[in-house]
Amino acid sequence: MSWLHLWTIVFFGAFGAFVVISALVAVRGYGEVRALFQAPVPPPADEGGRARRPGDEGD
Amino acid sequence: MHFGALDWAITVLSLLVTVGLGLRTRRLVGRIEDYLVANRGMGVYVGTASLVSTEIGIITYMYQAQFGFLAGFSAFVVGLITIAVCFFVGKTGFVMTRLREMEVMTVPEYLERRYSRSVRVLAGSMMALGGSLNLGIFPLIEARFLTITTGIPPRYVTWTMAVLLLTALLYTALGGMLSLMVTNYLQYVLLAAGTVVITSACLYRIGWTAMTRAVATSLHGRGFDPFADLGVGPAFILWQVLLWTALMTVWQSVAMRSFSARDTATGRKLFMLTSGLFLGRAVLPMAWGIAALAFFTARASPVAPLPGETPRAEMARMDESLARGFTRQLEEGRVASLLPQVERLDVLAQGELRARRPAGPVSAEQAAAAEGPARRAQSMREELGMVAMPWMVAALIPTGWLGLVMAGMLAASVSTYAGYFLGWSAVISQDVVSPLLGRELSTAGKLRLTRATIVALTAFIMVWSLVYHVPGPAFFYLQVTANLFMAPTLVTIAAGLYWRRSSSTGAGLAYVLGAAASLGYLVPAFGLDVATAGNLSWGLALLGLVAGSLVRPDRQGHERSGIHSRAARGGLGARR
Repeated sequence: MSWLHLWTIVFFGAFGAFVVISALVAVRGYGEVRALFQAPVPPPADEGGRARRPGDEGD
Repeated sequence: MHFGALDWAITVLSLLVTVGLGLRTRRLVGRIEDYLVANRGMGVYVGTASLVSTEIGIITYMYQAQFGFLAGFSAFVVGLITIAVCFFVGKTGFVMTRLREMEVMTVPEYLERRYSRSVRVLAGSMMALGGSLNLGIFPLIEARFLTITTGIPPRYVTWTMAVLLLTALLYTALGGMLSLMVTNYLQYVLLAAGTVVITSACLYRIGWTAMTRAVATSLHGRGFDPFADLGVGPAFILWQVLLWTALMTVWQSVAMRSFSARDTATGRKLFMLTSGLFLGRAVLPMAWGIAALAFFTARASPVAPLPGETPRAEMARMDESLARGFTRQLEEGRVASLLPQVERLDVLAQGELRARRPAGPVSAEQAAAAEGPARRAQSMREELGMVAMPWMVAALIPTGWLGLVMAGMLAASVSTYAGYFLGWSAVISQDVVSPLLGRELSTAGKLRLTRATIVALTAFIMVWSLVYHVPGPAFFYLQVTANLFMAPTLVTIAAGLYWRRSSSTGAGLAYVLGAAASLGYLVPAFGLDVATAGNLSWGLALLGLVAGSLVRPDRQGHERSGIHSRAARGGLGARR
């Protein structure tokens, strides 16, 4: 097999893989993004797990 | 130029939707873990979209297309290396799994646990330097793509880039990794669509046969065999294997995706899925560069010597003519006119240099006089390679489709800025500033520090992109600035995970020696070629680590390894 044959296979393989995996990511990823928005909001907490209170200052 | 109102509408709408989505996630961010690693809740598909859209920007497509234009199909070997390394990392979990189990948020954080705080600060500083230099040329190169494809006058391009950077800054600084994951999903869909449109246009309007013919004729027999081609070759291939192994495991923006994964199995699946996309990330834009070569070669008029003109006189005339008009013609997009002139100058100069051989008819002085034109021809060819793809895109893609392509390219660009902002600012704030302060910051303090670092980083790259001139092909510059800290980072981390005797002294020495070797390419006075500098960097980093560890082992080395092993098995928390 010549180099040109190899690069032809690599190019069309890469293009095909890009189209197929991108479609998969677009379809399945949509559900994951929706789940992120629907996830319960975590309570803001500091290092020790103490809930942050109004007026708390950082460094 | 036909970037019309419809194209602008599509482009602006896509940016507005992206920013809106990013800002909506702000309410979900409460802790630094939410901000930097999305509270480790990332799924496979969103993670894949996030990783790939971060690692694909206009810059990626520009430098890959330039590499394809210059090296032909031989450049594709980088794509094969990428897919092989990415799949290997996903399959074996090499380094990545152990780091994810330790629940670190940045790569240097591990170095403090395994070695010492000073190694963490040194590594963080080197990453901050190399990462900023790497990121610093993005706007410069991306601005050229925007100017050419949209027809924006060059004087407004700086402002356009400023708007892009501020867009990325806005939602990254506020929403962190959660914003990235959500916006990256939309950006990925757009950039994938844009990529498919351009690739299809290349195949439909130019054709694979014309592309292969252009490489065969324009590169004079080169461009097919990567082991034989000058500029690629075995040393380059070895370096690429090493560098891509580092990029897939300890490059901060990539590593953050594995740190953000729900668990190690999700992280590994993500890399295996991504490997197919990373092949396309390299090969498809390289093919656009080859298509641009074919597109302009087909439109070029042959260049011939004047009657009675000697090759040397023709070389001098061509050199002078290009010195006068190259920049102006390049800005006007006259690639088809410039390409044969540059190729002719290169052929004539190379002919003079070949004739320098002992038995040749040309004296050393005459041959030395040909070195200047040869260098200039090479430099002009690199310049043509950088702009040929966007000029081809502007000429090939019809209105409406061009808007979709631009939306995809801008999405790619903004997501890359956002991902890199977050990655490098995390390193600067968590691994350099915070440890140097010598005291624990509160959650709010860490968030404020990270956000302030993102703003400072944005300011730096805007200034750097205006003052710096990229030496040689952008592909090489970007890879060497990455190699500057990637070689020592992978060497020290792999040794830390798998070699109990590695010590802090060895790690420090690895960073100093590894970085010094990469400078051999970046500082022209040293005169090292890219592959030699790259491989030397890996060799010296390894030598420094082994020698330093054997000569000066850590007194508590075994205890540290023990701590590490427990952490690796049980996921010892790293909250600090």
